[in-house]
Amino acid sequence: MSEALPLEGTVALVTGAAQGIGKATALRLAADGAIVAANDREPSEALEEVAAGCGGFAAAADVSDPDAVTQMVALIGESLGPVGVLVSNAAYMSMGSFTEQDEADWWRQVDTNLSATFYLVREVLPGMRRLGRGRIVFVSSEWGVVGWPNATAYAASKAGLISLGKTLGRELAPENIITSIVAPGVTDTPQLEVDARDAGVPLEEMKARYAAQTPVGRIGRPEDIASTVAFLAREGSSALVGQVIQPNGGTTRGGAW
Amino acid sequence: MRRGGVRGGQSLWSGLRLAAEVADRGVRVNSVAPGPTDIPLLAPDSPWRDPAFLQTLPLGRLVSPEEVAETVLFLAEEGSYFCGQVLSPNAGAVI
Repeated sequence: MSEALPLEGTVALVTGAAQGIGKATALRLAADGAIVAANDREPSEALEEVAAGCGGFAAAADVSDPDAVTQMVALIGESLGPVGVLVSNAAYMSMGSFTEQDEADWWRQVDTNLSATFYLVREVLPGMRRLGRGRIVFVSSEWGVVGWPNATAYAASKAGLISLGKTLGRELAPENIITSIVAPGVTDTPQLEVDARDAGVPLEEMKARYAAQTPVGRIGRPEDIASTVAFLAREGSSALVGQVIQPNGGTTRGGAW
Repeated sequence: MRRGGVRGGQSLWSGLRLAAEVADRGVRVNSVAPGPTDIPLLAPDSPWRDPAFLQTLPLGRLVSPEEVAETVLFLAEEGSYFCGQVLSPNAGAVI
């Protein structure tokens, strides 16, 4: 007799799923049995590929637009059923000195990284309440925990995700809706191109620099983060409600939360 | 596993120092710090079993030993990018 997969029968929504951590997470949740709606800001071949790979569908929407989020979640509900697992991962990062951070770009990062998460939870919550269960995982960042030079809006918005996750952890736990936060360290994804450009070095050198600063001697793989999200999405992880889980190769040992 | 006040604290910190030292040799040292867990060690009349206390927890119940085991298992099987971390399945007792 085969054991049921951990997320069998669950509809999962992963934002920012066309590449990087989101892509790895969508594929991993599907491998764990979930029906995955893969979101990214625009339709693309990459997003279609991910959706096909996880047996779900591509749900393109700009999550910083509350109306687009409402429409997307309604469409998923009609097509697949209520979302039981939400992974809010979509992010936009720009880097530059504090004085170079302009207002429009500040708001773009805050709206994509933090406000979007508020809209997403608001829209999936009624469905989770009908299901009588829910799992919500926010993909924050190590820089949300410790800050980082040249990452003004990104670090602040990622930090906001941590607190929002803790609040929802406390508030929704009595309803069996479990919220937790992953704060990944440097991970090998296309977003690293932003770091490389800011440092003025080729991508491979940026990766090598970060790896040299990491106790385990390597930067993260998207699968490292995806497996963490998948773990938090499982039934047996309820007791980690409101926790900030930090796969970062040892850059924040024991002290940061 | 880390339980208990001062002794737990000492083993936690020495574990985290060890984590950095052995990281580049492919050894991962992390800690699981369970919150109040439903195990025989917790007496039937323990204050941690008092409904008045449990009500204060977001999950409204003790952590199950299986949940602690799941956390340990995750780190052992898929935790190679975790180093010197403290994962605390605690039912929301400490957020």
